[in-house]
Amino acid sequence: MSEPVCSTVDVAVIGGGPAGLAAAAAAARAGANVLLIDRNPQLGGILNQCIHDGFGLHAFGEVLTGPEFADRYVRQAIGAGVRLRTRTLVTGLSADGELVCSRYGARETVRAKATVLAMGCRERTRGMIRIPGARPAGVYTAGTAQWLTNIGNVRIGRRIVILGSGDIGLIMARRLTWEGAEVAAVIEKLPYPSGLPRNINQCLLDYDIPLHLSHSVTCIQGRNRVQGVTVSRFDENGHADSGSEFELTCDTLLLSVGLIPENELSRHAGVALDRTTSGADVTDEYMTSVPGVFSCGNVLHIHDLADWAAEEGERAGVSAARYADGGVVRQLQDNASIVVRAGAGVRYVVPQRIQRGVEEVLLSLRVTAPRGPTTIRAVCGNTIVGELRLRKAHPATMEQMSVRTAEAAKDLEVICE
Amino acid sequence: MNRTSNTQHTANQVADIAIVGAGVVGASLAYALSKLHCSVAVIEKEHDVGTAASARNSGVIHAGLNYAPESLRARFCMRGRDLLMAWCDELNVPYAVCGKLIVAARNEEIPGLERLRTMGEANGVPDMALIDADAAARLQPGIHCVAALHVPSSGIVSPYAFTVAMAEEAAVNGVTFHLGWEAKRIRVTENGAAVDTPQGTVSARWVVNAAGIHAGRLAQTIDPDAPGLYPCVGEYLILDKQAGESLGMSVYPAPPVGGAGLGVHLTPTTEGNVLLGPSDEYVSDPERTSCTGKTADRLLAEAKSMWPDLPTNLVIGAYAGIRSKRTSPQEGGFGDFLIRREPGTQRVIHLIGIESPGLTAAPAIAEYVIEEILRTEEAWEPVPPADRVRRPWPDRFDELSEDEKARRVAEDPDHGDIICRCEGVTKAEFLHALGNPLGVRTLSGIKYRCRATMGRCSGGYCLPRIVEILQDEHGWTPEQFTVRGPDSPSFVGRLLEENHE
Repeated sequence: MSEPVCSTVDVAVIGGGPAGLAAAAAAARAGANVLLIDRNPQLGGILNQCIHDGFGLHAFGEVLTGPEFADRYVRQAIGAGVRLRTRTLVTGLSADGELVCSRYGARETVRAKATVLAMGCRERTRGMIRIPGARPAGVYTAGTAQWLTNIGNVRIGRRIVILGSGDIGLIMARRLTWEGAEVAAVIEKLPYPSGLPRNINQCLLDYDIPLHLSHSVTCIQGRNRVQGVTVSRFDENGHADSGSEFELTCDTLLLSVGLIPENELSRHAGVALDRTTSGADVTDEYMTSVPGVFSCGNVLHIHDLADWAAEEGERAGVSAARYADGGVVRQLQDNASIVVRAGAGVRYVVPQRIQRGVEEVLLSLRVTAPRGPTTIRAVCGNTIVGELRLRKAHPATMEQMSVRTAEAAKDLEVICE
Repeated sequence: MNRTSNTQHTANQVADIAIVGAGVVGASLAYALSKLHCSVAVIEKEHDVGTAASARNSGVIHAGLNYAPESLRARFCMRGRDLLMAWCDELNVPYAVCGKLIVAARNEEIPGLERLRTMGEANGVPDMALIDADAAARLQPGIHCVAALHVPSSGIVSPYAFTVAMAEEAAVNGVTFHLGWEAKRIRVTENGAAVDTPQGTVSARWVVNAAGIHAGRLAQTIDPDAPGLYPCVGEYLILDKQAGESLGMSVYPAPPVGGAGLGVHLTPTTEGNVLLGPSDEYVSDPERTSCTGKTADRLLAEAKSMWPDLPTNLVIGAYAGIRSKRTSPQEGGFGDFLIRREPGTQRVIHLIGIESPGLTAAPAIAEYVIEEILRTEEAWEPVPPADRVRRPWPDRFDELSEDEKARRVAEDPDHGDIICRCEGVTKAEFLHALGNPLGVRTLSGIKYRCRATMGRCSGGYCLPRIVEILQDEHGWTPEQFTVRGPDSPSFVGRLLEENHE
């Protein structure tokens, strides 16, 4: 019987996607002894299956593919002296920083002074959105389909219907078209697309792929393999219009109906979650309700660009290094912090708490519905502490704004005007 | 090659006993017969065992209070639960005697609970107690009722684990499984009877028709007076294990008068999920396993009336199963099990209308059928236990203690490689499932055997891992991946090869 290996590190980062890589690199640059743990053989997370370009515009001022973008951060992490442990799944995390890791031939415990959660997210499934009908082969989430196509090297189907206009679904509409499949339609239940406008243009309009807004799939046909779907129109209250049904013949249904932060590990460590984001409740230093446990990237809230996830990772990594070094990292205490609330027109704001006396904080947020010219304000009582003017705002686009909180005495509300 | 070997055409097979249907009843028979010196062939039209009603039910070990005293349902339920638990122990199949509450939402429903208790007492159900709302809430926090009947002897079992484990151990002890063979008719022969399928014929001294919803129709091919069956679909929802943390026992409503089922109930599973259902709707298609949105809404509403805090956001899946009802939609209610000997040779035994509590009763039905056969077949001696090959249902790695996990990883390094994160399935568990002795190589078959793709992400993480392992390490081609067999291909080809052509 092999002895369980036990090692101690300053900062353990769970997940080697853009947020985790950037967090690890930043923590190491700040002087911490950092261990990055990832379950896959190759670092980069989902970026490895994103062979399309569009990454890195904000972070590097260049247009990169997913693997190229990942490679930049892998080099940063290695250059900064981060120790890497791939093909390793963290199966347990305790509130006092003990990680149980499992890999081929070994289970081991790692003790970390600070832990950064960067596990990313998973896709919403057919079961969660409860699409009625049969249970044939040929129903895939868009991200799984992306792996199967770009890495698994299999052809998933010949005639495809995509439910949901999330970015991965849009990217896959173009990708499968390139591979000779026919994408019959993209169906979106909301009256507006949930993916980025640039993806609507470059992935659907450029290829004449129909987008049916205010529609959803109300039945899947085919006992063995998908044979078609029933599509119905939905009104603004989310009810199907009877008589509006039409049938689309297809052998494959892709689902791009949302992403869910992957917080099972966080939950077991006792990390308090935000009901709207399904990610952790964090301070302006990205520390969760469990001291020494930090969160960033898609496990904290769903980002639309990997660049932003990486940038958030850097901030969390710096905080984790400071915490591990015994530096002052402020805890989430109700009486000592300013609570940040999403007000009218705003779906959520991260971070959810700000320590009193902090000069300036960057808020990430999303609006609830598409709007034209918009001013987003952060207000403390009657004082405006931050303002963001936008030509237009869209729930698909994460917005960021800086707020000055040095003088803030009250809780802070972010509203859309 | 890893192609399923179970669909090969083999013209004429001979056995002492042929069983049509590899559901829980057929598998129970195969398992019990594998302990005797006789040759057994099982004919199953699907490409795995236990795929129909046997996998698609509540997974409850019934206590025995819902059936009229002296009925076959009462008799086989009471005997079956003892055998089922004994066989689960033999096969390492998990089960739990967690008890159940039958709750009265209104005072008018209390007499119904009293009637159930009386019937249960007549059937020998132990330790039942009619309790008030507070006592019920102490047993199962969050339950809303005015009173409840507590039935501590009720339990849960994984129905597909039980069926698969019995079939696999039967297979390694010499029982032949013809998967993908669809029995079209039974006919009398000189020495017994024969089962004809498009894939081949099995001739045997005895034929047992355990074809579930198809048993009535199949019986009529040899026995025109055999009764038909009415398919009645029951839809279920599956909740995340997070919901399972707050449900310790099954919770049933007072039984609906004249209903085709026992009412929408909540049941914990042995794996820690929560099942919610079933509906009851007579349908024409005996294989309708699709779900409807309206029914799902109704299930949630009815379950919420008993458990107001039901976390509806934790629904991760849905399924539907078909009850084999002997009572028509007009009659409603329940008929009794029918065990019918074909009037001529007496060597064909039909098992008709094995609906609830069929899972609990299956081992007892098997025991009874074998006793009947042994009145004639005295030569079938028991196989000495030392000569039997074991294929126990594997322990679930995820549920072991940390020390035990470390020990098993040291024993088999593939236990360190966790391929399914939601269910904590290791590569070693996956490979054990893949190497099953029935030759089942479908993704659904692998799922039921090791739970990979069965969790909250429905395979988002582990399907790629499975595809990678099977393509890279086992040489599978894309065409070999199917969900339930050749008719349900997962993929339509390979990408790069086609580009190079």
